[in-house]
Amino acid sequence: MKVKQVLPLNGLSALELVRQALSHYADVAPELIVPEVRLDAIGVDSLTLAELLFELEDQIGLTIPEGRTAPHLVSDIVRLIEPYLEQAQAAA
Amino acid sequence: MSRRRVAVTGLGLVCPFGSDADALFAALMRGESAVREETVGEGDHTLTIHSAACRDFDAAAALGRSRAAVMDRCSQLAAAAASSAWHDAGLAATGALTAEVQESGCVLWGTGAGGTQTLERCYRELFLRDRTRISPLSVVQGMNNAAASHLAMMFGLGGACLTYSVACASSAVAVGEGLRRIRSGDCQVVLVGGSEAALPYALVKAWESLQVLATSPDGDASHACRPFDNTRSGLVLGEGAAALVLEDWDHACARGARIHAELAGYGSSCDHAHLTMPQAEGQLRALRAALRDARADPGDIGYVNAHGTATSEGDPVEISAMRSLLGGHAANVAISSTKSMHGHLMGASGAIEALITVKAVQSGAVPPTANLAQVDPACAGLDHVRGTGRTGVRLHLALSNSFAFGGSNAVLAFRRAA
Repeated sequence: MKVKQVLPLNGLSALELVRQALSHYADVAPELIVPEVRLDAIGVDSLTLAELLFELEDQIGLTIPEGRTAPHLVSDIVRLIEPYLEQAQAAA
Repeated sequence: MSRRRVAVTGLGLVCPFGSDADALFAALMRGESAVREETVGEGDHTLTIHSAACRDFDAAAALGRSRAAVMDRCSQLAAAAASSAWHDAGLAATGALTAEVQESGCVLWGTGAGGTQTLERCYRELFLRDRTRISPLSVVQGMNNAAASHLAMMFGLGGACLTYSVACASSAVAVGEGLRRIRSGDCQVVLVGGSEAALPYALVKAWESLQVLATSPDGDASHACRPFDNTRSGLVLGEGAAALVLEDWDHACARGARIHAELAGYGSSCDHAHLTMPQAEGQLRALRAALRDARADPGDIGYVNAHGTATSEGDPVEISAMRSLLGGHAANVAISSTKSMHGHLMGASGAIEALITVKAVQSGAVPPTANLAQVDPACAGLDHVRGTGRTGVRLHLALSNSFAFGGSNAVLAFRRAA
């Protein structure tokens, strides 16, 4: 069974957090995961995306509300989690 | 009356011995055991048992991270085994099958416990860690038909995609029903097999409660599983997957496929007597049905890959059924239980033992029952293969038996490819 590693959040950017999480689900080197990359181009479909967001919530410790527009690019996920990551980092 | 013959054109597996069918068969012939002492569970909930796990299986390496990440281990094992079988059948190349054959191609898969590791993870999260939400993939990873669905997607097969859950007979039933599908003219190609990854803590504890798990007589885990032996003490749990590509014989020949063996017959029955105690009469019905279906006589059988779980009750019942079937031929028919070496793969056992039986008829070699020092008198009457395997055997027809909890029985007959 996959063991999820909880990363220390201090000093971690949203892009770095997204890269680490995506590395569990995409067959692409982390350094190639840049903001402009399309999620469907790296094998992230709707099911995988739901799981990815769940893992990011796990890492941040906060729940991202439902009803958001579905992300299509890596940058969309980064923008989505940024405020929650900042909130978690401020609370830490 | 002529009817379609069914060829086995592809073999693939992931098992405690690895992922190579020839390497598996060679190890079995040497009488080697993959059973070890293993600890299952995590945290405060662990248990050490004798088991046969796929220790070296790397799902991400075998399948790619994106595919492996959305699968329970049961589906991961299935996907890896099926990929090997598909490649072995020469079907991996684009255009190997026509669009029509592809669209009618079926997946028939067997599993006893399905995505049970996913279920245990969910319960652990909810009840031990007080999580209020669990992974969105839980349903599609945990559902019993997940493996078959993934295989249909992987190989673009648009015919029936079915999952059989018949405990230890699950994948034997899947193989047999695949035979029927091709004979009926429904399709030319069927991907059949089974997978099981049923070693999470709770399920292992459940097996422990049944008091059927083997103990080693000398502390060596590889000696724990002793089918038909006077001192047998029960079964060893295992995990893994095996896949076979079944193909209409004429279709296989037309495309120049290598044929491993013919799947000649299939018989199924139910004891309708007890949930756990097997009945020789029920098993005999399946055995006779398989022989009738193969249009063969008891004297044609050269080898039986037994169900042989090494339980005190099960082994004598199976031998009694075999003696009834074989009559005066019994003493000349070689029999072995390879579970003694690869463990009981539960829902996948029928498929891996079918694969082993195919290798036996193909190579004219029969593997042994490991750890069989002294045959229990109640299990005598057939030619038990002990120690190491036999080569140079004139083997034209072999049976593979699967007799399950719940009383369901499935017997497959394989014939040497002419």
